[in-house]
Amino acid sequence: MIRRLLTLEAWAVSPVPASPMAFARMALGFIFLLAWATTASRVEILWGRDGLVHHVFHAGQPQWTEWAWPGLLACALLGAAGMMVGLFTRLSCLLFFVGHVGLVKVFNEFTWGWGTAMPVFTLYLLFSEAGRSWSLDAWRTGGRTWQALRGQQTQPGWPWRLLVLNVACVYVSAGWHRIDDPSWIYGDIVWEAVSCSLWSRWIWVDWNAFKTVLWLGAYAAQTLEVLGAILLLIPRVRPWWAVGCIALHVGLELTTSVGWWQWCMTALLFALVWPWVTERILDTVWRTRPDCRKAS
Amino acid sequence: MGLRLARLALLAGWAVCLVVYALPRELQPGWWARLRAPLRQTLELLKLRPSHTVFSGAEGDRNRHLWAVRFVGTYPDGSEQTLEEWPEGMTWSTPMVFFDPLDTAWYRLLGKGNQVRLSRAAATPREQEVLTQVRRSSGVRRMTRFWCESSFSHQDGAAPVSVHLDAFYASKSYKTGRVRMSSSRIGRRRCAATEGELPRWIAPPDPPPWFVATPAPSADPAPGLPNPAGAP
Repeated sequence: MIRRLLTLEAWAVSPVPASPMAFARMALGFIFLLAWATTASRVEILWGRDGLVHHVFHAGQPQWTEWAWPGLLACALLGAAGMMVGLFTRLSCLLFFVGHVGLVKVFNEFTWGWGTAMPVFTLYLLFSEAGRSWSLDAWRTGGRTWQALRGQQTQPGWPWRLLVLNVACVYVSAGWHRIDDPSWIYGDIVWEAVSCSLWSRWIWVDWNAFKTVLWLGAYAAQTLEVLGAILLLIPRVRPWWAVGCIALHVGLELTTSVGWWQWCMTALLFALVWPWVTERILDTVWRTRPDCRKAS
Repeated sequence: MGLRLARLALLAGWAVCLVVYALPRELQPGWWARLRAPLRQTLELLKLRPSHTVFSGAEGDRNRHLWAVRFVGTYPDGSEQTLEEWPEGMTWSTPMVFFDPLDTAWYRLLGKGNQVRLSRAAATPREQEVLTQVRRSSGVRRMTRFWCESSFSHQDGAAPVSVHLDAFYASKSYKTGRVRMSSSRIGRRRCAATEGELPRWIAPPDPPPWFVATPAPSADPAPGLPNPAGAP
């Protein structure tokens, strides 16, 4: 029994390619940075009716608590930027976690999963070695050469495995509604979403003309999400299914607006496709080559 | 070996919690509820998880995507006034309270049926505690905070809820995923929508007679929370 448990533990922590987590770190950092940076201009709720500038420069001697919200926003922004470029990655993840959770609990800007799933995904990045590859940390610790940017190519696998499980759990949670909601059961949901002024990006289009296509789209989405809860956990099927789910989220983002959720899920699903895909993307972004390590 | 087993237990425990959390409420095992209750209470005690959330109730319900509230009352003399033209379909289940740092008082907006009254009411100890926390944590001295204990709901198809009154405006848009909020006093500054998709405004009424009698706000209110009117 003990031996089996130890085997299981060895599997859980066994190394995995570094590129999926490095990609997730960079992509989520970029999305978080974009999200909070664009939010900063309209956080009137945080600074009152006169806005930030007045509050900081013209409101007299501020109490220290007045800096709490700008401080949290600064944490979120700096943390997200640090995640994106991989600079002091663990500290950046921690900073972002603190800033994001602090802000999101009061400034309840609506984005699916903003206050629940995303902090947890940040924790996986925090505890992983995502900052040791394709990052400024890798550059700092690897001799400060261009080739060092690539960093280590494997890392302990448990954070990535938890991330995969968590993504699958997102579909467990979503899947229930797919089989419990009449709009999903009868295939009307996509038509309802794209023709509803609350969600649609294309409200002026007469979607009735495309109802059959939308009906098919609803069942395709339902299939991807319900089965994704299981198939994303099966290594052989996972990359293919992740590609399907990416297409689903991109399609949803193009047609509806629910905040940053589709962006985040797309970024996370990239960590579930073949590692060579994320590796090539990272090599392209960072201008590195697979043989960099050898060259150095 | 012990360390490895402990690590495995930690990972397995996290994985189980993830799966159980993702299950629909109907399928979650009983132990999960028993586990969560003290956790939630602890987090609330530590103020890490406010039991009240600004604009709560909007998420997940497409009928609550957009609302705006402005209200006027007998403020600040404390009497009550029933509002007119309360939009049909607007309902809520619990009273809303807010704190006005200018007037150093709590007010409560009460609704029943299609009637609304603004009451300079005593906040309950719990409301007082929550509001104290909000004001202290925000540190915003001059802002009238709007605190919605439960939720406003707004039926699809109805005009955006815009009950004109003293000085409150809040909106939440599912479409853009944004929340905006501003507050002002009639006669001092008009509420303004900042973007096109926000609810259309009903022109603010003329300042009520009592407004003139409103004491000028202190330029530098005392730090901390003043004792609310009627609070224990």
